[in-house]
Amino acid sequence: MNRILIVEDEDDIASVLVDYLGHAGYQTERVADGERALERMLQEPPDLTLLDNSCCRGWTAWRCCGAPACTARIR
Amino acid sequence: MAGKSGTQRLGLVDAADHWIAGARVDPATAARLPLRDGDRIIGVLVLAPLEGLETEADRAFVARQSSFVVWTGIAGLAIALLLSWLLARRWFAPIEALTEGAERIAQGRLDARVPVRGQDELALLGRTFNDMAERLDGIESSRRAWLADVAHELRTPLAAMRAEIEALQDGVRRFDDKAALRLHRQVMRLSQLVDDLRSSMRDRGDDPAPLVTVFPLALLEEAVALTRERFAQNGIAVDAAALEQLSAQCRPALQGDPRRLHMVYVNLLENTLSYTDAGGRLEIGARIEDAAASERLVLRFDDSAPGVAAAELPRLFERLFRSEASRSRALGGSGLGLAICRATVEAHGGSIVAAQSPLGGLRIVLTLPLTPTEPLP
Repeated sequence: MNRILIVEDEDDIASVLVDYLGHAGYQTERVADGERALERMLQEPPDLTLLDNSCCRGWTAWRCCGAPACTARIR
Repeated sequence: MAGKSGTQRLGLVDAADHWIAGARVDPATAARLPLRDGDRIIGVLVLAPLEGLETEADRAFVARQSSFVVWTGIAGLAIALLLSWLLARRWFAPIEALTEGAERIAQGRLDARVPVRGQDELALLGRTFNDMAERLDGIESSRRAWLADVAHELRTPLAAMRAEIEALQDGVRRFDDKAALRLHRQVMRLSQLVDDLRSSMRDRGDDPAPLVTVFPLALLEEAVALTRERFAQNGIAVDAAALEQLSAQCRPALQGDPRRLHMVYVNLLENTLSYTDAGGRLEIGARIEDAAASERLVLRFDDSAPGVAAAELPRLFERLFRSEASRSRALGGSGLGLAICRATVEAHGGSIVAAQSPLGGLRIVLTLPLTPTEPLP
């Protein structure tokens, strides 16, 4: 099953994302800040990471991951 | 016409002005030299005034002189005009630049600055103008930043509500008590934010309340009493012994707005309630300090863990600033409470600073200048 990492500091928004992706049949994992996200991405690389860049130092985490080429910005 | 020589102009008259010899001279216009024999005037030498110029050479000389004078005059006038034009341009250029600058400011282009030269009054005016433009520019950019922050803060609860509602519409979630609670919480967050925004705007001094005599210790005791039950519910012990002790000894007073000061205390206590783990404690210290001219009241609020990173301490009183820790804990609060506290305390002539508490949490030290203390009877 495809695994998706959700990085979002707002509990309510994160839980809706978890529900949507779970409903669509994905396995999800949620972390609330950039450092934890980085830790998880390096330990157990997910198939996809949803990163909130406006908070939790999203871009810093993204850059620390070597700024992966397969990145799409969602506005 | 030939001029007369000296001898042709000289005549001699007797004491009664009757002609005797030499030129016949009109005695009314002549220069006279009386001739005396002892005390008696026996005659007068008269000299007729010069009539016309005496030689061709003299006249040529005068003609040369007068044309020289005329040309010198014309040249002088031209130079004077040129100089005055140059000087006027020099003097009026800064005024023109100032006018242009003021027009640009009026059009909302706050980056307008005027060139400043020299040390005179106009240069001073130019510098003052530039300072004003600089300050306006600063106010405008901080207003923009503040609006952007407010927009971001308003957007977050809205995004959460939108996500929740769309999940309900898409059938990903079912509407139940929990969903209602979550939506309600976001709405409450929005209204709290709007309320705090309003009071933080009011605290900028647009609407100053009349100053009355306030007893800050009594107000603080009141606020502590009001929140005591909630501290007990959250499992946080409140130690206000020092406060009670000081308030038993004296009754410090100041001129201020009791409603807003009460709000400061409530905000500080709410802050501890939100950001202190259960099983923690709050210690309130109070003492009176002698300052240069008068006394001041120093109140200290120490709470236990979690604390605030040292790097974040100076930003704690900024509007809409919330520490990383408080964000990820997702605990209410609009991020305006401490900004409102600072505005109020500063309006009372006091100061408020944050530090790390030896209890492991946050220390807030509030200093308020007092009017002379009344000892208790």
